Amino acid sequence: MSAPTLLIRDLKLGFRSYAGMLEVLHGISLHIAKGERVALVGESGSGKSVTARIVLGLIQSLRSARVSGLVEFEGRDLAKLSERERHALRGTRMSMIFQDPTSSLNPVYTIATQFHEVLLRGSPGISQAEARRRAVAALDDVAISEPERVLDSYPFQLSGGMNQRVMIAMALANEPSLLIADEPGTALDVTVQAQTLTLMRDLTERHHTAVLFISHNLGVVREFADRLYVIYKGRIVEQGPTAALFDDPRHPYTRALLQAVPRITGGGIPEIEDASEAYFAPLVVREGFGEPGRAG
Amino acid sequence: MNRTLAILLRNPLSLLGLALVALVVLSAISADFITPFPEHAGAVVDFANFNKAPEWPYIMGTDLVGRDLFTRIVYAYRISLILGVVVLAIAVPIGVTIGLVAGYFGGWVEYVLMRVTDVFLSIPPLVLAMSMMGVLEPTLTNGMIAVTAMWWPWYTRLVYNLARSEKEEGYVLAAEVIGASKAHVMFREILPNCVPSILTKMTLDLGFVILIASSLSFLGLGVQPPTPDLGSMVADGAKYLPDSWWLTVFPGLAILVAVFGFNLVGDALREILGAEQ
Amino acid sequence: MREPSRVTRPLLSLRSVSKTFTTAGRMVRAVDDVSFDVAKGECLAIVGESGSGKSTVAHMILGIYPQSAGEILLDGSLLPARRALIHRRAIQLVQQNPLSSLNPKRSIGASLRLALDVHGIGERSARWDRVGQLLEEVGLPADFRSRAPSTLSGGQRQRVAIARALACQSELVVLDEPTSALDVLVQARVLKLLNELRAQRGLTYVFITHDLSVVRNVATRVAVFEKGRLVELSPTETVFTNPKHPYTRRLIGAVPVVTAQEAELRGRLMEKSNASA
Repeated sequence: MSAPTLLIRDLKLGFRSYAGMLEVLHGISLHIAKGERVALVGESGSGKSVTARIVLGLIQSLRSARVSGLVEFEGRDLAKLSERERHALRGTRMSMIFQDPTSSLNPVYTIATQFHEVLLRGSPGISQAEARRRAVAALDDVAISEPERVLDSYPFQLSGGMNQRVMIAMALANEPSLLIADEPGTALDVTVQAQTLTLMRDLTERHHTAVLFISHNLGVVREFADRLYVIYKGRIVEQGPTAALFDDPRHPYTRALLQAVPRITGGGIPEIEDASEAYFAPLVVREGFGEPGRAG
Repeated sequence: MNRTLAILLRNPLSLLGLALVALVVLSAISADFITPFPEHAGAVVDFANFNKAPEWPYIMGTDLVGRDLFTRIVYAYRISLILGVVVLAIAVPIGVTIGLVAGYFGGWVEYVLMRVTDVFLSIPPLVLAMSMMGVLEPTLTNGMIAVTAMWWPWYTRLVYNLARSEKEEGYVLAAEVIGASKAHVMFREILPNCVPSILTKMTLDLGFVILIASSLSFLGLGVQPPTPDLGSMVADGAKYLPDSWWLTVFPGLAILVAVFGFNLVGDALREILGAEQ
Repeated sequence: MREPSRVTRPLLSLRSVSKTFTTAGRMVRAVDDVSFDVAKGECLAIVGESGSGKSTVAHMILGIYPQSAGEILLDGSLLPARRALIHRRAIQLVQQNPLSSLNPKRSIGASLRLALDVHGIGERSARWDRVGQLLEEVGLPADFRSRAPSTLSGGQRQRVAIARALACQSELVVLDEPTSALDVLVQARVLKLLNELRAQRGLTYVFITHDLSVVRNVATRVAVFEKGRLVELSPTETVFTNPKHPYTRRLIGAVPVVTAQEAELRGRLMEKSNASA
């Protein structure tokens, strides 16, 4: 069996601060198989975004951060790569989409220029004309009907939903094996968000791209991910396939989280603790869904 | 408090700044006790010891009428600091109030106030002060008036920009919806959020006020003899370079120490208070 | 889109209210001829996406800016464009972002006390105690009043913002996305608190939100806005079981859901939408 696209084992992260060591991740483990869509769900401050940033290699170089544990991307230990090699992975084998599409794009360059920039990372020396041809195809892929017009526009001339599609097209342009999506579409309207998610799902399926999907929104996760990890205060508390986890949440925290989401079928607002000792109960893993080749 | 200490300790330059400022301020305060010849701050003539190179007890030498240079530098610090504090004490409240009103009210009020401010800002500070001193008599009081007149617009600019962005914060809306007065919103809600930036700028400016006052007296438009002043000391001594080097070098270094010290402390303060510039 | 006439007078009425903004020389009609009533004690949700005009409606009710046309009545009397203190006291606001709605440089107590001071509520000497009581009424310890907002969690800050809205003892509270910046567990508790307060004190809410699943569980009636127009206004139950307007169906169809039961409801509504299209 080939190496999983992403393997994280016992990842710990602390920040040195004036008040001493601030522990953010207490040893989390997760894996993403080739082409698998995996969600990491948690509330603010749970450590979900920081995990994504470690995978991208953005935290390791911070002076105040102390990272330990294993992060393997396609069988290569990230810690053993140099800063330059990690940089070379970003935007090529591994790409990302952030929360607010409009601010992720540079307002002073046209989409065409920024697309060229992106393609250059994957294919050094690619010509303007060739880049444009590939950009048109990529925008076509994300159901943008007038790719030529969009390419000659500046980000602020496009709607939020359009920018989000452009971001998705750029993120997938170099055929990455892993896409990291940090709360994509949260800044968008619900109807646009729904379209964006469907689009992302279809595209990643077609390109066999594995996805690490970071979100606080259980509804969004249910519609997007094959499998999910629930993270609470720097600890993974439960993991398993999406359908099973939503039908039968086993960890007290997962249960509370699910129960707290208001239903469009009604039923009122339940009485739930926003903090509880029970939320620190040990990890729940469904049989057969632990890390391959390891017990658990 | 721990954070403050940590920032200071991490950055040795801010400690140096603190030491320099302490040196300047403490010596100015205790000038009467630490100087060997306090009477030399005034009109004293001692031709027996004139124009002497540094030697005990004249550690920085003596000037052309035999006064101890060290004594005069310490007293010059005292006067410069008083000048700086008085200038800021007048300029800051004026500048801050105008900036708050312009930033918070907007509309034509903002237009009028900020154009007036721009007029003041567009005149080079030294030229403005020089023209004022040309009309007025060159005394310490008039020196302060001149420097104050060119100092407030910088605070208006600073506070105006801060107030414009703070105005968009939810807490301003909350106070308005409750029905709080405009004065309350400006001075009790917005102003406290501008204080870190204002304090930082004030510290930096203490150094600059000393520098500009020295420039004025260097040009003969500032404090008049026999009152000791660093700028006029440098100006008078410059004619006797390089032979009587101490006449220029020590007052010059004194200006450098003060300006450098206040700048370093200002920078440290900016980091500690998290002020925006 | 008028409600059937009621025996009791509505607490708030909007009659043919419009708002046009002029930006860069272009006229934008943000709210277009909107009329609705809010009955005493109900929670009317105003839902829509960005650009729907829902926030503009809230701002006009609060008197942050005047309407371009139409009338707003509170308890049968016309609200003027420039609100007097008595009008300010009658309508309160809870904002979306509790981090920004509390002044970071003022204590929780000072922020709460402002409402009491502005409207002269209670004896001056008793106000500090009243601030403590207000905090306890929203489930926070009274001694939070001397703390800074930065020491509180998001949920606690939002409770403080709610306490501030209660301070004026007004009947009408405009809730502008009060829980959308909060985590889901915290959101549940804050929504519960809001429900309880409405029941206990007979408060009336105008609940501005984009989150339909929240609306389903707190609102008595729902007003759906699309591009400045009120497209549907029905009791909550009706909106979620038998929405009339295609836009309402599309909105509900886009809500991410967590149970099969919800997905089924959503599917049913979308089917209807496709059938009618």
